[in-house]
Amino acid sequence: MPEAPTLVADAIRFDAVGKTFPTRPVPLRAVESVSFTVRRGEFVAILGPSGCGKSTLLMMAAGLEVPSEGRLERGGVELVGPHRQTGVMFQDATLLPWLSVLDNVLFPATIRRIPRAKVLDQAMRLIGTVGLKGFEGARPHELSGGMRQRAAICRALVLDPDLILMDEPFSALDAITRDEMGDVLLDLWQHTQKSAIFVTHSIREAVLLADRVLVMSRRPATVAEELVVPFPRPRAPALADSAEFGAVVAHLRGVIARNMA
Amino acid sequence: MSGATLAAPARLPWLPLAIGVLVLLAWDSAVRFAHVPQVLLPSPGSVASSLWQAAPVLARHALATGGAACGAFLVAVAAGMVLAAVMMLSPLLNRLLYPNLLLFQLLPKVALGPLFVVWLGIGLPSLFAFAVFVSVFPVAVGTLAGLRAADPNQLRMCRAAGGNAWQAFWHVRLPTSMPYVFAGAKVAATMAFTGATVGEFISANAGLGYMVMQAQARSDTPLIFAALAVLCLLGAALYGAVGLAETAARRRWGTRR
Ligand SMILES: Nc1ncnc2c1ncn2[C@@H]1O[C@H](COP(=O)(O)OP(=O)(O)OP(=O)(O)O)[C@@H](O)[C@H]1O
Ligand SMILES: [Mg+2]
Repeated sequence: MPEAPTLVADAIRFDAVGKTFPTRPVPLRAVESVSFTVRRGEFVAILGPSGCGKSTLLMMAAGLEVPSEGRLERGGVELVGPHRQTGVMFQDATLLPWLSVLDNVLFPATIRRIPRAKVLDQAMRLIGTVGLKGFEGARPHELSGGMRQRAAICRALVLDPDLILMDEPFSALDAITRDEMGDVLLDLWQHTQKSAIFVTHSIREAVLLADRVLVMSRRPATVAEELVVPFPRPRAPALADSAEFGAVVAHLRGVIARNMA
Repeated sequence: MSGATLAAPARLPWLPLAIGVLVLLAWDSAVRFAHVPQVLLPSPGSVASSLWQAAPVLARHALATGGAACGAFLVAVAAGMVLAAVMMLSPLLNRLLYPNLLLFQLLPKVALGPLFVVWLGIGLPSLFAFAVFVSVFPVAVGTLAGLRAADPNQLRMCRAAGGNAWQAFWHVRLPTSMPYVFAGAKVAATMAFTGATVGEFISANAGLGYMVMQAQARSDTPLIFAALAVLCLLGAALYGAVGLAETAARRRWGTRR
């Protein structure tokens, strides 16, 4: 296997990225000179106060917002728009209500004009993995909130992207379903080499899922602190009940409290 | 969506039917006991007998009116949707057309009927064009509102998947607009009959509107009522057909969340 240049080993790189929204009467500075790198296969969680600019950051990574300054690199190339190898999950599932679960999962293939037959196996496999087998033909309104987010996970993964961006994907769910969804993601990540940026308000989710946690400052968002999660993979959901896990969570809570002050 | 009714068993609308029968009875007794002259208000019985006697003629004229109205309706729905799509996809055309569209919407369009006769002469072309003209606006305005009602999150999701404006239109906006299109089409269905009938008043030698004018000239009021009854039936039939199409579309694009 040829050795990849170091640059390309990064899934995505923020280089002094800033974002100002041209609001009136005063422009709104949402993101202030953010620099960080997500390596191939690395799962990065972002924690931060509400309204600090996390979603803005993620939307820039998705190619849906243009940075006001700085540079974004995706696989060593400047990012200019939505990337074919990036999967995105939003806060609500945003399934199209007139499509079946299967058609929703296949939606990215439809948009990229990839023949259905080519991705059908992958779609069915994902649907099985997240526990939606038997609901392929159901419409979104026939699903529970958790099931809808499961379908949204499948949609984000169906084209086998190498980077997944998730903006508080489980925040609309109840606490129990939410933990369950965390376990689904953890399970999915045991077998992949995908990179991820995961915005969340849940410290437990961040520590359980991520290799590295970035704590953002208040608006305008900058990376205030960075913590490498000291637990090896594969991780089991039971890890969250351990004392070491509790210690890391407590530490992060302290860091966040200091940032909010 | 308000259409999200649980499958209600099909039931006859007893109450409206009862009221209809009551009105008929009141009408009949009013004519019978108050001695209202036939020319002013014929009894239901004489309308019925007029319906029966003139049935072949009525059928012929009904075919003309129904054909013109249904044709105009289909053209108006197609044209209205295309107009809305064009305005949605081109900001420039939207800015050029939309204010004019609203202006026309406010205009008492029926008043423009004689102009169509001036332009296109007496006959089918002018009456057809007029019927299209009066029914295209509700479809265009309704469809445009529907296209614009698309969920911003769904549009963003489509964009994140790599979709361009055209794909967002086709995969998100158009399905969203379906209930609005049908709301517009239902108005258009009645407008098409209004347009066709008024068109026949002023510019035709066939059709129920023409027949009404003829009957009026002969003071044959029962025949006027008979023609109106047929007109009602035709209008209800088209409206019902649109309703059926909507049910089918809802099954396909049902937007319950
Ligand atoms: N399109 C926009 N136009 C103007 N201002 C915006 C826009 N998008 C976001 N903002 C502003 O930018 C700031 C950061 O918003 P953002 O959604 O990124 O915060 P967040 O960290 O995701 O918050 P939360 O945790 O509540 O989701 C907010 O003050 C918001 O009002
Ligand atoms: Mg947010």
